Amino acid sequence: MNLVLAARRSFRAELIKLWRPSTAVAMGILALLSVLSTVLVIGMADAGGSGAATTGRPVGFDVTTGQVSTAAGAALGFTGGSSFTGLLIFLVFAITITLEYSQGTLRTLFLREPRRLGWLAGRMTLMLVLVAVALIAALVLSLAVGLAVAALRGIDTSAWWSAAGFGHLASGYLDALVAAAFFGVVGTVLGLVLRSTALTLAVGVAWTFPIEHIIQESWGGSNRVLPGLVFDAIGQGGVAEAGYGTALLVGAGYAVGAAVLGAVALSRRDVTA
Amino acid sequence: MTTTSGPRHAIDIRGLTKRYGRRTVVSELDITVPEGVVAGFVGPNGAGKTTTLRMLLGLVRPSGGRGTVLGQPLHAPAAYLPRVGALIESPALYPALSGARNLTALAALGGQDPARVDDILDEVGLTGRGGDRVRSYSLGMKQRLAIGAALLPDPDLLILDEPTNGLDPTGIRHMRELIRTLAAAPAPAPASAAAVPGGPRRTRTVLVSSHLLAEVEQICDWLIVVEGGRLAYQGPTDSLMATRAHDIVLRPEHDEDVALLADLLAGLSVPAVRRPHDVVASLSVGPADSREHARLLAGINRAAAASGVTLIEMSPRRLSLEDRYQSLVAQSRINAAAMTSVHVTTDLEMSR
Repeated sequence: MNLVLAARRSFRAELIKLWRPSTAVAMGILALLSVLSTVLVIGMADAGGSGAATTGRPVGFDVTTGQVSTAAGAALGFTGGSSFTGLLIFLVFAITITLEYSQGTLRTLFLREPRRLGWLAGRMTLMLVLVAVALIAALVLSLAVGLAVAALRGIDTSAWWSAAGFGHLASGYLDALVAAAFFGVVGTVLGLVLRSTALTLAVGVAWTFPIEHIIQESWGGSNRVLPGLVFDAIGQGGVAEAGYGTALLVGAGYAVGAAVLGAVALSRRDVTA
Repeated sequence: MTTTSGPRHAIDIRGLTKRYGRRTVVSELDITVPEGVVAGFVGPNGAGKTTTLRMLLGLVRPSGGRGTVLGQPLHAPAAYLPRVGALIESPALYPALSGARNLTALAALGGQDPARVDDILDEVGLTGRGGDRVRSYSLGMKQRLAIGAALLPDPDLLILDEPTNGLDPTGIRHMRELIRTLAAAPAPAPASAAAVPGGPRRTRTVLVSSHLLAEVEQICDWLIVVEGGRLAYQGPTDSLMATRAHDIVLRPEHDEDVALLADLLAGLSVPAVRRPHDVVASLSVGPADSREHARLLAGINRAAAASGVTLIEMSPRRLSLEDRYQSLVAQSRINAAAMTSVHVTTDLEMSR
């Protein structure tokens, strides 16, 4: 009960802190990344080739105009940008938590709210709510820009407005939200463990992006095992090498494991910053 | 709450210890701070002051020790922190937010009424600057805002760690006045007590850690001195200063008589230290024994006159807190070295 009260207070306090223009800017950048992804995916869709049709699922930008014109095409641009949005969310979550250490504000916060886990729960809830709102904005913008680019390329989008089209949009949004939440949890936990912005970004970005992708080049199973690739697969609704169910299960395992590690680190370690 | 009938203590801790690996930063520290005092917490750099304060505030987990803070167990900081305000080391606030927004966020986090923010800004002298971003504040203003944050819960216990660090002389004077004001103003009674006419008003206790001994001497009526993580002194500031009241400054009319006066005192078996213009004599009794003290002074005066030395000053030597502090720290180091020596000897004997 006390933890719930602490979480509620933390949520309100974080809302007061984040109710400012820079938060809107960060949410806007997230939406723009989705728009960029949509422009690239639909603008560069292969008009004549088979693309990823042989696998039944789009892979990266390997998309045909035929796929764009289906009901699933409405969400293709949005889900195709999950790597971008995942990276951004990882960075934002990691930077904001490590700034609490480097600015020394963590001790100020814990003097007012010593129930650390309640504080973290409230803070994470608010940040994920903001991500959810930003992703809605991203989805709407992405859809609008997608329609414009498709019209420019002469791609028929009538299937987008079917029930199946809206279903793809909804599932695409949920997939992106789950992936974003997992990226956010891992970014926060890495920050809690390493307590340094530079180190967290160096380790997190280097591992999740270049290193994982190098491994991916030589090991096909990496999409089902490495956290960044798994979260990516969730965001795209599953990829050829990692089905959605498998990716969701492994991703949830990583997120829960990370959350436990973060909770232990935050509650057991001394605050010396 | 403390239920004993004796003097109540805001802080009553026994055997507080913090070890990092094999290094002991705070060792078996006993701290007692009576309610309502302004207590100074002094010691050289690395003495363990900040670590001790962090342990009292639940930021650092003690390796050992037990006791109470505001009557609540030390190991349950969530029970007493809502009644504690603290500034630890430098002010840690959000630079991109205004002063008022910082306080409002902290009030929301602590469950305090955000309507108090304006009053607190006024109390710490930041009225008119509350809407400005903290990054535009001077260090003194940041310190005052951080103290404002500490005042949000109407604390019964206010803990300030080096509140004058980095401030210019004017800032230090302002901070001293602010601390005096905060200490003089009792913490508001809880709503239930305020509803009763003549109901109890809580007493605010202030614990200030500082390097500036002159500051501590001016504002603190209780003193805790630590050295090397160990307690060197704890008690009323006056008692510490009074323990050397036996020292008397004797000043002859002519500086060339200083040597003669010192010899004279030696002849009277009175320990004395020569200085360029006077002699500091350590009498066997202090002013508490007024008749014997007066008899000794009269004897010295007569002997000096008989030797042709005219004394133009016979006054108690006023030691500064710094003098006492230096001797306490020196004594503590001697004691620690002696203990180490005993341990080494014991270890050697056991190994034989």
